[in-house]
Amino acid sequence: MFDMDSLSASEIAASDALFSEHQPWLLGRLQQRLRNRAEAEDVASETFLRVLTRQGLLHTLNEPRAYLTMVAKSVLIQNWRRRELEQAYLATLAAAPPATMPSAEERALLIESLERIAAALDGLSAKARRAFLLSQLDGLTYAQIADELGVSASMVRRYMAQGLRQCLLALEA
Amino acid sequence: MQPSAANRSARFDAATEAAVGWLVELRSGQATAATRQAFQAWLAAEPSHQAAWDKLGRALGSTFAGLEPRGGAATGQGQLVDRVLARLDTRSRRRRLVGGALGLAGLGVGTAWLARQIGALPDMVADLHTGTAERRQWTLPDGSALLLDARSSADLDFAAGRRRVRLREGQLIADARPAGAEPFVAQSRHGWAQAPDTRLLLRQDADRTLVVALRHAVRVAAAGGARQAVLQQGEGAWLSPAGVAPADAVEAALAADWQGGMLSVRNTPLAELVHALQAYRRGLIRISPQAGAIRVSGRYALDDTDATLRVWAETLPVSVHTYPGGWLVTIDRRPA
Repeated sequence: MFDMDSLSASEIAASDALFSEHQPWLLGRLQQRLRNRAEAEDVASETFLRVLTRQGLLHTLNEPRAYLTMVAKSVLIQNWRRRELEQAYLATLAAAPPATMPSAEERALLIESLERIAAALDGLSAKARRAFLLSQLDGLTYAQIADELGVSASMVRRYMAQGLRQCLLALEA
Repeated sequence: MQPSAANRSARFDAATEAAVGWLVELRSGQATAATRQAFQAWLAAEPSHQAAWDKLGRALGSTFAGLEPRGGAATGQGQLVDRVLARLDTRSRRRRLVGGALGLAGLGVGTAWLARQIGALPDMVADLHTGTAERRQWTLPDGSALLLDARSSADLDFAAGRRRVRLREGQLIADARPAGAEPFVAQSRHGWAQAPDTRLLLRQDADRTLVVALRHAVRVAAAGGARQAVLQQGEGAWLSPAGVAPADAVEAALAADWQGGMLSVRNTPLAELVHALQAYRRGLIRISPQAGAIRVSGRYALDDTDATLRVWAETLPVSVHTYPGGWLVTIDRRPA
């Protein structure tokens, strides 16, 4: 969560200056590329938000426009990823509707969790990921998982260790 | 990324590897009392063991925060998450192929093109669309009228006597006049509504669509659903993969107030109001989960978002910070 109190008065002044000097430029550039004003506005705002929350940076930006462009790019990419994840989630729900549909709030929280899990487990094989999730979230025993995946129980152990290491790597990242 | 190579043990110290080994053992479903005793002994043997064990707990906690490991296959949460990620794999592979061909070179023309390829910006190619804070009305080829809310988009299909509007994003109010034998059809991702002569509202949320019959009766069905339902004037329904469900009568009665620039709600989470207000405001509105959960009833101006934010700050237990220039607003629950 964004924390207003973490900014000093001089940082707020610097961010305001940065914003008024470069926002129209960034917005124009984004709009030209995206041809969607609403999306361009959101990406521009999110970009400034990120620059702002990286403390100490405001006073030391030598090439603000190059930096803003770089951050805007990563915002765009993250937006696409999130949208893909959201679409994949909705498509999964549509394919097999659960007995009770999750509320909007539950859904937003789940999408956030999914983003973290997807990032942490990226790099696991499909089978390893499945084995790990079935143990971690559904509490299946290794015998049950081995059965479901058609692999040996010792393979399930190896998958589990891989999954745990991925989470450790994500923690360190 | 090479899975096992990347996370092979070389990266971790012996205590961490041992902690991983113990957790794998304890989770197996076959751990005996002797196993647990041996584990306790290991844990107590050295402070570094306890530290490694705690770190593993934090790693799992931060990855799976928000999802409760409930145990028992009945919940099927792991199944669901795995299916979503498997679906994502296929999509990402496609994206990587497309991205590879382009080199994903910055904010260039390439990215806009790429966005279209992966369908990330659906309304860019829509027939009709509105921008932030813009409501707009169109006259359709059959003389019907179509009003789009801010940040909404729709496609038209009036070929061969058809009278169809597909809502792609946001919400619409269609005022359909009787014309020939073809009924007027308004559809969204989640289903359709049709009538020969009607005024109806369609609002597409991420996972469901609200339909309200504002004049005369409307026939509705969920996408792919066999069961149809008829809404009488004033009634509303939710269309979703789960089928057609009746909407709350008050919610249906308030749903069309945006046409007059007002947002009317009863007992609605503040996060949903923020979503609606965002379509009318150029700067970002950020709300904390605690503030977003607050339930609100009232009538708020969409066309003057500054005034609405002020009203919230004065009447709700929230603090509203507006950044200079108004490009960022943060809303948080006020400490009691």
